[in-house]
Amino acid sequence: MKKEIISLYQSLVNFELYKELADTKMRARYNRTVLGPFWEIFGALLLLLLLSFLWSKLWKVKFIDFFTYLLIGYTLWRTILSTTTDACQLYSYTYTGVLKNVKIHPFVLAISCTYKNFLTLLMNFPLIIFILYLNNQLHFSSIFFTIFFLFLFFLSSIAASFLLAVLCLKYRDLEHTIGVLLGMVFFFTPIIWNVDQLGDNILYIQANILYHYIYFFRSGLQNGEVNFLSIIVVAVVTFLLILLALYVSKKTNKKIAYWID
Amino acid sequence: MHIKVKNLSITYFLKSIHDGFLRKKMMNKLLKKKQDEKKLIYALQNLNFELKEGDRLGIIGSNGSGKSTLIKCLSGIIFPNDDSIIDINGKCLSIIDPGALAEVTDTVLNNIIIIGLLLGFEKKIILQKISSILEFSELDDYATHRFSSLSSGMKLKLLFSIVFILDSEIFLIDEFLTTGDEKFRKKGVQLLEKTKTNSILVLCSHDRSAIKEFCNKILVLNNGKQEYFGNIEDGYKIYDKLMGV
Repeated sequence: MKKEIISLYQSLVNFELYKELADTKMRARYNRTVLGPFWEIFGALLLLLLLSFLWSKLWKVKFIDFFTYLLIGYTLWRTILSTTTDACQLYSYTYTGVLKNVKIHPFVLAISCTYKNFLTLLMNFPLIIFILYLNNQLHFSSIFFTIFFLFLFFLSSIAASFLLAVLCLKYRDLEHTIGVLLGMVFFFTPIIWNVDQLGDNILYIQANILYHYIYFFRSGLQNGEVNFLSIIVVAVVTFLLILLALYVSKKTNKKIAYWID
Repeated sequence: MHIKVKNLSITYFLKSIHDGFLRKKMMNKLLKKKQDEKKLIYALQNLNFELKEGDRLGIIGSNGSGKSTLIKCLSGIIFPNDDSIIDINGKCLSIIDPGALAEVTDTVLNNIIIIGLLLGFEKKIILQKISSILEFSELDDYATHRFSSLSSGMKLKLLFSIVFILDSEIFLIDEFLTTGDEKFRKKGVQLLEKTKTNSILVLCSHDRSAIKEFCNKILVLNNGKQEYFGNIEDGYKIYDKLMGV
């Protein structure tokens, strides 16, 4: 496992390469748009404004409260969704040419995928901070919780991207299954609905790991405090994901090149 | 600077049409269906050779003889069997299909940077040599154009220039030297001549004239086995015999 830890570290410090890979993909994705990734942010903002208007009426809550809640949760969800979608194609499609032609550790590609989506998440921050300011919910302690969360989330995303990329390379029919599962998880995670609406049934939702990620991010930003259980769950899941990624890397590193068609 | 290869073998199982499908695999397990028997492929068998500074090795063999597999293995892209020994001393640059590293919708300039980084060079060095690359490839006017707007000849010229201007100690090349028009080819040959004494070149090619022009040693492969390693003339005699020419 020592070799794998060194590979992960070397990949993490190879900033020039994974930044350039991510930038290249960003440029390719937003090639013909003037606003670039901000176009997606504005598109989502419009959708969230409409949904918030409708649902704040339906659930009889203040528009700005519901909008803030939805904006933060949905922003993180979009990052999770795009990271997962990108990861599923990472080795089997996006970087096939790279893996077949140069010596590169697959971790670097997983980091570039995470970095790209992480940057898009960060681009949403000015808007989130502005809305929090409007809603009088800016707290000094939010800085600490948000930085801590983003650090854990970045590591989790790298490990999860690597694991998904390897799985989807080995089993080509998994990508579709993962897409269907994510669709289901979206509705079981408190992104568009408030967890308080569950009352005593909150225990069921706590089994959903993504709930803790969303809650940690949202509560850290909105309230400047986070439930200890969610911090522990996110930290432990991050640690376990990294361990699993290192183990899978050890087992599959020599096989990956043979799995590519 | 050297390359030492001892007892190099690569075996792998040939993928069946059903491989790569989890649902199929799970169904087979559930129904206790017998798995397809996998065919073991001997891609390379017991290769032994040594190269030192200034050596230019040409690898020849029929299609499927293991030439590209050997280049990929020396490059560290694929891994040999456990008992194989590969000892490479020197900065290695593998050129298999550099076009596959390009992002076609991006500019020529950005592609030089990304291909250079993927080939293992520091961004600082790439930026220092970017004007030389554009000049050598005669594409100064195309720097901000899309890579996809270049003709296939121009793309090859650019890739050749990136690879050789950025320079290295050991070049592992899979069919890549016969690039561009006559004028560019001459420039390319001159560039290669310059690096002849202080580098190692491993060139895999079907082009007899390229091998004779650039190499001083030859490795003949046949179905993954080493038929000959030595001088060019004797190598081609054995190769012609194998081919029935």
